[in-house]
Amino acid sequence: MKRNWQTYLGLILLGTMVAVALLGPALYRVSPFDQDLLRALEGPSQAHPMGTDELGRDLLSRIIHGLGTTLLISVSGVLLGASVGTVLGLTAGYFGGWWDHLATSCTEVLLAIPGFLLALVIAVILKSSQLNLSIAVAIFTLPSFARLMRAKALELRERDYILAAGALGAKGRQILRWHLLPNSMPLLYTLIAQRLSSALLTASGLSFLGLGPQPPIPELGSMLNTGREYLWVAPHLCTLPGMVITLCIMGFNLLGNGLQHSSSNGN
Amino acid sequence: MFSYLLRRIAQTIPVLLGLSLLIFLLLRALPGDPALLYSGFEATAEELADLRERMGVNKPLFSQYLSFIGPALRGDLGTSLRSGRPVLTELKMRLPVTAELAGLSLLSACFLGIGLGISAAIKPKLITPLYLLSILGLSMPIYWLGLLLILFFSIRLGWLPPAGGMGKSSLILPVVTLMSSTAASLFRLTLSEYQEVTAQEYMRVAKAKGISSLRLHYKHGLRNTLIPLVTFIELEFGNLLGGAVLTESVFALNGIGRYLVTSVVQRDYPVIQGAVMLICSIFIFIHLVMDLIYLAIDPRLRRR
Repeated sequence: MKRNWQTYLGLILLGTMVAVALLGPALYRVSPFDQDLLRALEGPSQAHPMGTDELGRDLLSRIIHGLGTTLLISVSGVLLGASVGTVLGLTAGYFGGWWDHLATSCTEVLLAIPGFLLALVIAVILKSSQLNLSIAVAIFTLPSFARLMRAKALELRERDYILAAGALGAKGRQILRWHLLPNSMPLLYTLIAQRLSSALLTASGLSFLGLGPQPPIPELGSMLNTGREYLWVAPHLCTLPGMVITLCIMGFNLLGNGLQHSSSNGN
Repeated sequence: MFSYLLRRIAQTIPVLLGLSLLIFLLLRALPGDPALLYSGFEATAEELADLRERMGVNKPLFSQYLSFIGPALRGDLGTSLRSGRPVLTELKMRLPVTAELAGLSLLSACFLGIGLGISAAIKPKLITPLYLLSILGLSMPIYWLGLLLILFFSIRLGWLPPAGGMGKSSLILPVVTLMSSTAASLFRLTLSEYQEVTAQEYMRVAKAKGISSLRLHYKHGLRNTLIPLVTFIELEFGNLLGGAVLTESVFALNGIGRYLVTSVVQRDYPVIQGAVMLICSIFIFIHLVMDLIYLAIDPRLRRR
């Protein structure tokens, strides 16, 4: 059964993207900020392999730098949201009581807001910037982790080895750290891979609406936003950055699918 | 069953109240002066004082919340700072556009996703190409797909209006844009659920009994996959409502989503608050309706 082709393909795709984002700026030494208004909106040429944008800046260089920004925002956002959500969910599920009630009702209120809208509201409140967009993504990610990790903790805490650890005198904190957390890791990895694609969709969507890093910082979503005004004369300003976003999301999707598939098949 | 329904309705009240408090606190208790942010740092001291009075932000936070939630319960969401008209009127005007967009998208996603899912489950040859297509559908961001469609069908071919057009044909591209990811995930879910169902004994028994293939797939196949599908659709509503915001922006449709985005840019707080509250209430209401649909499609649940 070739059940893992999705994982491999996803990893290859993402590896390429990360390599481009990390090594690209060192290998392709054209500034993403240098303007040349006389050569604005040009198609691909020797000097500019992907053409130029509305201010005559090199599009390839902007895509390479923008890819780094986009990936950084979504990955850091998901990791932040996942860690807070996991701590919240595991403690709520394991300790129960008033803390569980509080955490569960907070999660429920957050889940009552459609995810994209929640991120939008957070992005409105905080000023538009790279860091604040990651925070918006983190809050968007948090409730789903909190809910699923709580369910996992409820399932695990009745297991014999957890009960045994408690009977041997382990404190709640130790049980959480050494028993609950390691045993939730497979679920956590799968969830992170799955949430990364929606985080990237949300982050680039918000910056498409103008709520992300402000110009001149290159970011793929905001490049599409400015590019769409030139859709008639220079469609490459939209098509190329959009394709890069799609490839990233596809990588995350494939990875998430593959991981879920292998974990549901009992590894 | 009736008491279940009442309990279910009662459960939504604290969630709605918590939600209003959360949105209120998020939007009002920000660092910085809302009046200053709204005026764009260009107003004089008197204008600012006047604006604070008008926005009601010079009162204590709790009485601000009361003066928001009291009228809101009676359906008054305040007035827009920009247009000076009641927020509810503005929202009512735009709700049909969003409802039509989201409704048509959901409907076509259901037909396409479930239809293709069942066809693939019956004809395994279709699985690979459709599966690859679904990966593409799930990976294309709404705004990129929308722009590509405009580029191809409006600019290159000139078949359909690009954006902001009138008439039904201007809805085709937005609906295709918004439904694609929902259709793709529905396809996957239907495929896996249906493969499970067709492996069941009762399907073979029904077939051996000699009923028509249509009846077999409708009564025995589809009916038994409905619960997970409905659960999925319920969860997908949130994505559709969020996606509508982006779709309306791309296609310049005058719905609630685009109104929300322009209000965000203009820092029109009463509108942001009202629009978010309205969308969330719709979302919660849909969850409630979905619970009733469960009862309708699964007779076993009615006995509770």
